[in-house]
Amino acid sequence: MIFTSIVFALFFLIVAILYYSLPCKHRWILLLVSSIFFYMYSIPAYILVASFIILITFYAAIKIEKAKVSEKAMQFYIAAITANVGILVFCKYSNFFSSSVFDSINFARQKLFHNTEIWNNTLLIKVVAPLGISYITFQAIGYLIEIKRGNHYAEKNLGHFSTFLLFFPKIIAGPVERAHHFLPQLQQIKKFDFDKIIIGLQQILWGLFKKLVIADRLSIYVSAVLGNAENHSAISLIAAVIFYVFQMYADFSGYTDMALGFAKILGFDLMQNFNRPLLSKSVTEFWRKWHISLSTWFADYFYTPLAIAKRDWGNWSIVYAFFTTFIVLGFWHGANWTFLIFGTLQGLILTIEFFTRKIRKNIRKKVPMFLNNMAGITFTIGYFALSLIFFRANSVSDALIIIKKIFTSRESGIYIENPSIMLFCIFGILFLSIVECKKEYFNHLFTFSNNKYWLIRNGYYCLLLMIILIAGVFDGGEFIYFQF
Amino acid sequence: MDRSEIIHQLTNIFIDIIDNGDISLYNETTANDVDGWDSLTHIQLVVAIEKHFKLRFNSKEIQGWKNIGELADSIAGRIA
Repeated sequence: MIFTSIVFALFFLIVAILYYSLPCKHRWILLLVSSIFFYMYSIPAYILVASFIILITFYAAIKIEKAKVSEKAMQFYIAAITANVGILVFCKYSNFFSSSVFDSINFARQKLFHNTEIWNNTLLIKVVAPLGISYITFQAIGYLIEIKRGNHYAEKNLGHFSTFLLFFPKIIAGPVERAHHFLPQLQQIKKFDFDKIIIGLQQILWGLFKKLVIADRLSIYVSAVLGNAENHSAISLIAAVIFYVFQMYADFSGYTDMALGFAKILGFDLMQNFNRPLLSKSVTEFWRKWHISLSTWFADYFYTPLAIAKRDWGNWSIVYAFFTTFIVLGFWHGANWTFLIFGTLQGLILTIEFFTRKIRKNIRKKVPMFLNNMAGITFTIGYFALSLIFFRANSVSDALIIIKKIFTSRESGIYIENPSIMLFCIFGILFLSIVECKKEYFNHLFTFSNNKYWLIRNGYYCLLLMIILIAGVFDGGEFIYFQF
Repeated sequence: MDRSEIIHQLTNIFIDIIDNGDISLYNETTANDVDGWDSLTHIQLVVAIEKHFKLRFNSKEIQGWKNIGELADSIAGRIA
C-alpha cells in the first residue's frame, strides 16, 4: 500500500476520522491496529517477524533497566542486540550469502575438477525481506542502546512500544525515529487542531508534487538512458546522471514529506530527514543534511563509539570510523559490490575533506562567497552523482561502462526522444532548485506557502495540485528507498 | 582550578581545533550553538581536552555530555 495509491488515501481517511472520533486515551489502540493492518496488507506472515523483534526488545529493555548487576544487564543487552542484528542480516543478506556460496562452489568445480556442470542455486529458498525491516530493527537497536546508556526509561506499555516501532506513516522508509522523541507523543492529549491538519495536508501535497511531477518524470529519462548506456552519448549520460541525483532527492524527500504530513494530521511530529542537502558546499555538509534520521543514527551508535574507541590513533581514528561507517552504510543498501563502492567513495571524500579543512577554509577567505558557494555546490552534486552511478547500476562493470563512456565517448548530441519529457525534467529541476534556494537564502523576503494572505497561500497550493493533475506520472511505481 | 578557569581553557581548545576565533563557551552552550562542533570535531576535541588536562574520559562520559557545563563538571571531578 504505497502513499500515492487510492487504497492508501481511503485507508488514511478512515483512520483519521476514527482517530478523532475516539477518546484521546484510546487513540493509540487505533494507531496500533491500523499499523498492523498496514503492515499485513502485502505479506501478512511478516507480522510474526515484527512481533518477535518487538517482544524481544520490549522485555530485554525492562530487564536491562531492572538489572542490579551490570553483567546481567549486559547479557540481556547483547542477546537483544544480537537478535535484532541477526534478523536484519538474515532477512537482507541470506540470498547474497547463499548465492555467493553456490557461485564459489561452481567456480571451484570448474577450476579444480574441470567440471562445467553448473549447480543451480534456484534450489535455495529465496528470502523476501519483510516490509521496513531495516527501520524497525534500527529503531529497536537505538532504543536498547539508549536504555543501556541510561538515557531513556524502558517503556512498560507493550501497546505503546509496538505503536512506536510499527507506526504506519514511518514504517516503510523512515524517518528512523528515536524513542525519546516518539513515545512521549503517544501520552499527549491531541485535540483536533485544524491548523496542524492544514500544515500536514500542505506537506503531503508538496511531497506528492516532488514524487509524481519531478521524480517520476525524471525517472523516465534516467531509465531510458542509464538502462541502455552503451547506446548513448557522453552528454546524454551526464544529463541522466545529474537527473538521477534530483530524482533520488525528489523521490525520497517527497516520500518523507508525505510521511511527516500524514503523521502531522494524526498529531505527531516525526524527525526531519532532509535539510536542503543539494545546496551543501561540501560532501561532509551533505551527509549532515541527507537522510538525517539515519545518518544521525549511524553517527550516534556506530561512528562515534568507533572513533572514541580508537581515539589514541589521533586523526586516523576518524578515518577508520569514516570508512567503516560508510562501508556498512553502503552494504546496508544492498548486498552488492556496487553499494560497497558507493560507501567507500563517501568515506574517501570525507577523509579528503577532513584533512583539507583548514586549507579550504583559507582559500574560502580569499574568494567571493558567491563563487565559493557555487563551486562547493557544483562539486558536491557532481561527486554525489558520480557515486550514484554505482548506487544505481546492477553491477560494477555496468557502472564502469557508464563512467568510461562519459570520459571517453566522442559521440555528440543529446538523447531527446520526446521533447516534452525533457522539458518537464528541466522544469521540475528548476522549480525544485528555485524553491530550495528561496528557502535557503531568501526565506525572510517572501513566502507563497506560508503567506499571510489566504488567497496567495491557497492559490499556491491550488497551482501545485493542478500541476500534479496535469503533469504527474501516476504509474511511476514505488519509492526508490522502499527496497532498503 | 575553578570552573570558570576550566571553561576559559576549553574555549582556547575549541578555538584551536574548530579554527574559529569567535567561539565563546558558557555552561549552557551545546553543539548546536557552536558552528563547526560536529561528530568529527567532537572526537578531536575530546583527544585535545584529554591531552591538555592530562586525563582520560570513559566512553559513557564522552557520549553523555549535554552541554559545556557537564563537560566542565567531568573535568573538575577528575582534576580535583
